Amino acid sequence: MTMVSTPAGRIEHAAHQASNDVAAFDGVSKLFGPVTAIDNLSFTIKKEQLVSVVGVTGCGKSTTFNLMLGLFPPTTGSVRIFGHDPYAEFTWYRKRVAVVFQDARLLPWRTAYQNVCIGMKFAGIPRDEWRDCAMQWLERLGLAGRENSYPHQLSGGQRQRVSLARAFAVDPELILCDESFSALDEVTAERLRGEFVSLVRDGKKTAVVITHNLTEAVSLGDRALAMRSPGQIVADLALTPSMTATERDGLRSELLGILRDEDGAAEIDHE
Amino acid sequence: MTSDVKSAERTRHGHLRRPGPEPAAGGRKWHESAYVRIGVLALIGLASWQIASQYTPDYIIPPLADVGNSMREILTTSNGLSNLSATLVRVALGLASAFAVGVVLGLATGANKTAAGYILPVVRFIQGIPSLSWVVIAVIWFQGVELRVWFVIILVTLPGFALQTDDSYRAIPAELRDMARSFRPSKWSMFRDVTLPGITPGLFTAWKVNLGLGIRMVLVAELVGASTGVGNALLTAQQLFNMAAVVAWTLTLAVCMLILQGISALIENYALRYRPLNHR
Repeated sequence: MTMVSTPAGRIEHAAHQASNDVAAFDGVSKLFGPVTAIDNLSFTIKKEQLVSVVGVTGCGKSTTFNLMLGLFPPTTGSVRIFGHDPYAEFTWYRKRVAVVFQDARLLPWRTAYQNVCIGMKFAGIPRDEWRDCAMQWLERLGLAGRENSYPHQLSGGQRQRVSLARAFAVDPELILCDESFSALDEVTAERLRGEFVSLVRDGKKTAVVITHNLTEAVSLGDRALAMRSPGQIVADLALTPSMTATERDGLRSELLGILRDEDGAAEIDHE
Repeated sequence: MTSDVKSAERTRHGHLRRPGPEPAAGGRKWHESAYVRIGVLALIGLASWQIASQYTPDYIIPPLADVGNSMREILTTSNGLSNLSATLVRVALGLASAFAVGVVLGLATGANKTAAGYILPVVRFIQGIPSLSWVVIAVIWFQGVELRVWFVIILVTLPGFALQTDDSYRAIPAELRDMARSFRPSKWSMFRDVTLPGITPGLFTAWKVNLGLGIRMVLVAELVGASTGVGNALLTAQQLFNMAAVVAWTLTLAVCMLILQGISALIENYALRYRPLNHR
């Protein structure tokens, strides 16, 4: 376990090979009118890393997420995902990036099976591959027999499983999760987190999980980035699967301390 | 014992009473059926009508037999059928045209702020013009009967289609659009798989409103500007003080309307089958 506290907006990284970088933010700032959402943010994420990004509400997590997704360009600096510009080369990322949102965002007019297929359809995967792939993912995520159910007939956890199946079915190299487990009850969230980590590991994917849940941040992956407003990384934690629960608790407390120091009474989920 | 007690119900005096056998027909008594109630109301209405016709001149309330004869004439003679079909075809053509143009305008205004800024005020202005004014304008502007009727029905029903499409487009959750965009779909796929299903419930609402409006407006247009159709037949009946024909034409059109609404409801139920039953 290593912990690196950094000066505002800066983090020193170990030397890395550029080809191994999935995401690279270099001096990125983003302004919305007079409001600075992100100020001079730099970090890299390597291939097959599972990185959680944690911070208080309004610290710039979602802006970072949307920049990675290419929904808007940075005001200054450079964002590179797989060495390309996600905003300027939006369609290049078709089939390479998939997103799991906080709410499942299933199309209400499509069944669970059709919702999994729609991701593949949007991503341009040939139609003859949809059926086997969708059924396989639904089964893997415990939804066998529910493929013909419409979203309103599924529980919140089942809807989120469909959303995970939709993301993994396109076989993306990078999976972005925006507080994907925060709307679920703790038992379901815990189970889904475990399944998500297995799927990422087994598929050798790179994943970035935005969260405001400290426990989730220190238990989910290989690395946790703590952000403070305006979009600056204040801690970069290396995590290992062998860490004990006590070690993770200590890390969580330490993170909480850092975020409290930076933002006063942090609006963060302590669970 | 407990299960017995649970399955029993208490009487007003607190005694336990075992439930009797389930009532037939889904637990409803026969006199609670909607069909029975409608039948009873229809019988009462017809009986009242027949009694009233005995005490009033035929041009006020005609006997039911005369109305029946007039309806038979409408449905069995080529003249009656051609008038009926002329009106229904005009309604269909007018509504189809208004639907096509209205949906295109609604999509343009929903998707583009600049288009909305220019188009929506015009559509709202058209909607504010009294329908009868369009009839008068059509009679003055156009000589052709079909063109007059088509013009009127388009101008009267187009705002409904356009505004409903615009509203429905804007009501599609941004979250769904973002989800779809995250997979980088083509524009056509985005339209077909997100936009079109998203506006479909609103389109059904627009059809339901405009169907009745369209039939009424075609009748009015035919009354003043056509030589065929139900409106023209009604005008002829009025000039002859033939109340039986007026009632027969009105009932025929009302039945056609009910059939069209029934078909529309069937299509809507199928298209929106994904919704919970209480949301359809």
